[in-house]
Amino acid sequence: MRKLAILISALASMAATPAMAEIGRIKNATQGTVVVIRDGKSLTAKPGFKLLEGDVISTRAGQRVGITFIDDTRMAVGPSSRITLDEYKYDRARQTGRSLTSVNRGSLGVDSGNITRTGKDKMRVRTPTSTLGVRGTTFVVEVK
Amino acid sequence: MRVRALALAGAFVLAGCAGGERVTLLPAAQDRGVGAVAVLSTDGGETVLDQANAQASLGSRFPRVRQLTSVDPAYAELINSFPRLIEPQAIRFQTAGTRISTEQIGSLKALLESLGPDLSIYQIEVAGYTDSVGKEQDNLRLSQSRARQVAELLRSEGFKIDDNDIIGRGEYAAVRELGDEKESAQYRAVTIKIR
Repeated sequence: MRKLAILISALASMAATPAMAEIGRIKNATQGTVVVIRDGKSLTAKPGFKLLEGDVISTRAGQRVGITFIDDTRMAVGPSSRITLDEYKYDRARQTGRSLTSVNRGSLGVDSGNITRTGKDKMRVRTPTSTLGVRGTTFVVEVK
Repeated sequence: MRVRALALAGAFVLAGCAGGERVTLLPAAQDRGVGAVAVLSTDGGETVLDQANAQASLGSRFPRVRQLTSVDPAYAELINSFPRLIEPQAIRFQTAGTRISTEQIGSLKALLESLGPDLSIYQIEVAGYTDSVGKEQDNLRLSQSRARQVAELLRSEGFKIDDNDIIGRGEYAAVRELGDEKESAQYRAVTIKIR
């Protein structure tokens, strides 16, 4: 009976959780698999792994990871880094949206995509001390 | 004396924080201008970097900006990790048409084969467009219908396409670029983007 109650509770929880849509994909990684933290759980990711809003990407010393996003933004995560995809909203029909990415530590290379055409500073990158507004460009952020 | 030592230690920590965070604008990775990155302050001010190799040290109200003479090799290595850009393929239609030629399917297959043995890492996005003649909702439906038909045809040829990656973009791009009620063959199209 208790097992049945747990099963019903789990099914109800699944039905209440909206399906999360892919926002990007890990495309390449040096030194094998990558750690992605989702809802506090550590997942093992490899090229082809679909990323969701809220994911945290963590790299080892010497590791680099390439990512594409559905607005055509490309990112490269450097060694010993921790990057949080805090917010990513993108209307794929209108090709407009906004995003916020945090560089908690390490380095991040960015080649911005369609979100920056939506309006001024719709794409933002945050470091522990600062916020950057991205205006259609290629750049690197470092947090040591 | 102890207070002074603590103050000095604090100053070093602050200096270390400021020196430990920076942003560097690079030459554009794609065929476009350098663009810009702005360091935004909470009072609404901003420090804008708009020259390639300009670097700002972060952590203070007024970021220190300097001009580098060349790209740091570590940055170049990082940029080399950007996933490859693949040029989108466009299929154009006659008015209300949805036919895709065998030549176009052949060239898509050739492109996918050139990407390597593991195609599961790629996302294939099929997006339909219309020109701006007619009602917005009608054009949205037409673009979805075109995208769906092309996607189904590609699936029947063995391409793996997720339902979420079949998109109708209606007249939005045409209105943005040309204005409303403008006929344009360029926008009667479906694009196939592999990323």
